[in-house]
Amino acid sequence: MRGILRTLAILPFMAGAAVAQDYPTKPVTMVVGFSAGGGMDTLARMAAEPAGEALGQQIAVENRPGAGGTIAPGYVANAEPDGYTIWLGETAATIGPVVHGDVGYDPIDSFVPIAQLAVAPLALVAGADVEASNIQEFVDLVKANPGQYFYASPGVATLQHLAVEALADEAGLELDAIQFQGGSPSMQALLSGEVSFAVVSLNAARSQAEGGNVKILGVTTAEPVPGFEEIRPISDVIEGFSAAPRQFVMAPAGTPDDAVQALRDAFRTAMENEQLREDLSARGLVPTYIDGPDLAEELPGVIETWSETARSVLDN
Amino acid sequence: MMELLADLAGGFAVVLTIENLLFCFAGVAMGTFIGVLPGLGAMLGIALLLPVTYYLTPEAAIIMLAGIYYGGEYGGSIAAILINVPGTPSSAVATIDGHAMTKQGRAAVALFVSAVASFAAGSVGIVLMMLFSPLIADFALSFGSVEYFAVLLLGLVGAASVGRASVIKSQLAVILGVLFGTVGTDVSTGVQRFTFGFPEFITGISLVALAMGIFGFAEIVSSTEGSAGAQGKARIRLRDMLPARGEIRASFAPFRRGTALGALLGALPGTGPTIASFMAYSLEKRVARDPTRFGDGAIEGLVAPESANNAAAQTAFIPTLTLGIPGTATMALILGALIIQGIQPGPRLMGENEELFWALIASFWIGNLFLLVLNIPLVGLWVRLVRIPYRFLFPSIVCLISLGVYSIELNIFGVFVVVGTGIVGYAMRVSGIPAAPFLMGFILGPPMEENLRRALMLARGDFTVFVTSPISAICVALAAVALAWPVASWSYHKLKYRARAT
Repeated sequence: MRGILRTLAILPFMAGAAVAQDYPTKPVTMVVGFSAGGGMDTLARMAAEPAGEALGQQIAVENRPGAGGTIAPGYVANAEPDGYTIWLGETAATIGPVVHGDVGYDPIDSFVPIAQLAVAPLALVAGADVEASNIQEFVDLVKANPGQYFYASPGVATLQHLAVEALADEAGLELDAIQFQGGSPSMQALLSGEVSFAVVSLNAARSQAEGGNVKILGVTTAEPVPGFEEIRPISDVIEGFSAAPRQFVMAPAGTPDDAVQALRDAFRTAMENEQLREDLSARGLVPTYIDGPDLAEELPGVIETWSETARSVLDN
Repeated sequence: MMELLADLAGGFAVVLTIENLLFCFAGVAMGTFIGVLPGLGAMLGIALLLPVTYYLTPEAAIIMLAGIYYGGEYGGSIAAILINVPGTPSSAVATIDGHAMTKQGRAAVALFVSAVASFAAGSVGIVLMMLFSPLIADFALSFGSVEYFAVLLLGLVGAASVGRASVIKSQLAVILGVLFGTVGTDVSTGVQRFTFGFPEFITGISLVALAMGIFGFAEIVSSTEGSAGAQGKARIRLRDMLPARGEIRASFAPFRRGTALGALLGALPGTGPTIASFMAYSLEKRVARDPTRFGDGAIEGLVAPESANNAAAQTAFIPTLTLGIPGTATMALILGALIIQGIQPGPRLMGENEELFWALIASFWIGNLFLLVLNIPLVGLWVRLVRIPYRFLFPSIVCLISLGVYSIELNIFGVFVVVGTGIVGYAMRVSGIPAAPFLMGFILGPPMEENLRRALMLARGDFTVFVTSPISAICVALAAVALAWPVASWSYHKLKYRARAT
């Protein structure tokens, strides 16, 4: 019924275009799990503009923060799958069911991937007084002093926490997590010398490192971050290590194929926009476009890897 | 010194353009209004305007957003004083003596004193920021988990003295508040506590929703008839606003103490205007010669918290701008606005964007002046607000609270929390359990627990860390004295009585 009404309502506007195409006929809402002003919100607003242009309809950003970003996917998963409500998600939310229990969605079954937009590199950093300035020295130092060092984690089972645990596991290191609420308090603890190490966003790490307050040991992406090749990836020392949060767009499962296709085309076009790629890079993100079908293939494995680490961390 | 003045002059040069002055005025005016309206706070105002700032210069953007923030601190106490419903959580403590003054027909005096104290304390905060930002930031970094725990403990021990109920009921309120604070994910272990399967509770009960429920809804339910100040005069002249000479004299010391405490707690990331205003009140009551006057419209009980929250609102910018570490969620939003502009906040912000820093400082001066000029003439208008019959006023407030709480997360759940905590608040009122200590327990409890556990983990279980750090040792000692004092004085009197009896 709603569909019919909607069609009736837009009939006058379609008089000129006699095509059978009936998506999109109104603005699309892109839901973000974080408040306005955060990194995810910025990404959403920057991507929404060119993607909306390519789609031929405005993409409006809607913030539904709460529960560590898991309210938004729960909302989108249960929204009408008509292509007018989509979710800008990130890896952390996909392990929500493992971390928080029932959150009202399944990261794989509840969604159709539209596109991956970017990867947010994390950096392993050490306090200015710590006697390690690269990954090898970090590994040697912690190995020589097992159980002596603390690192700041912005919350239990956050990707930052899991990344260090996975790293410690692979390198055979013993170091203890101290939990904080978010990235800023953990950076504060590192600056005050309360902890020796932390994992923070590359951007935050760079600004503190330039001020001489911290040392960047390495990034968690498998490859060096374009433009910052002097910062080595952790995988230089620990082979195969890769733990970077991804940002992607998803539609609720059951969204009509033509809408999914139109959205995929729109975000592909947007990601070809040089200005957008520059804007993302300037904010510490690496534009890394992955097409919907490829993402659909890749994502389950990624989610499983993170979930496994999360389970082992939570069991302890 | 000359260099400082030159920098400041440069800042004024940036602000004193028609465009930036306009954004500054828009910010503080909007801040005042959303501050006055219960349920709408600076957080919401900034979040709503943030998308607009994409199209502004970095200076205009941050000047406007900062204006909303400290403007909100001015406005929040207006509703608290007049109708006993705080506009923002940080002004909840102004309901106690501020509203008592309104009931005595002295609303205009209370509003005037609040505006002047806010302005003066804000100015002190700005001077501190200008002169000692790097120093204060360094000092803030000397606070670790141990020190935070000790300060919060001291605050919690003082919490029961806020309000006028009996000691037992106040303590009960604090404990209830702490219990409500435990709802949500435990930071240290990730275990969910008392979430009852609601994902919305994973991050805890929202402070705004709880404060609006406990203070706003409960107030509205308990007073369904009449209006707050039928005796209020129709025309307010300057003479009606001025406090008595004795009151002015009595205000200086509370102003100094409130400002100092506020400036300190504001500069520490993790404490902020709300904690500052409550602690200033309890400090004032403790040092007062006659604490029984508190709650009956004692001017000290209004001046101290009002100075504290405005000083804190200014010094909160210090860790945000010099370290890139925002102390509160609202500060994080302001940092977000900078990042949107392509400015990465951090230790180099002051060096690299010196002009922006000084422009912001200059805008603080101008904004605070705007606020003073805006608020004094408005006193007459605000006072008329209390003449509105409750049957018109309260439904509008209920709508505003619901709207405000809903818009922050676009989730009806927040409104249910307001109603639920409103029922709790009403039950507390009926049984004489005071709301202010409850709110303080709710605010102080969770970070205190978090820092206690963190401190002990870092010390590997060694409790002596709390006495080996000087800051912590002082706070713990003060807390112990504050706790032991009533018991000691009670047993002393008891012994004396017994000695006389035999």
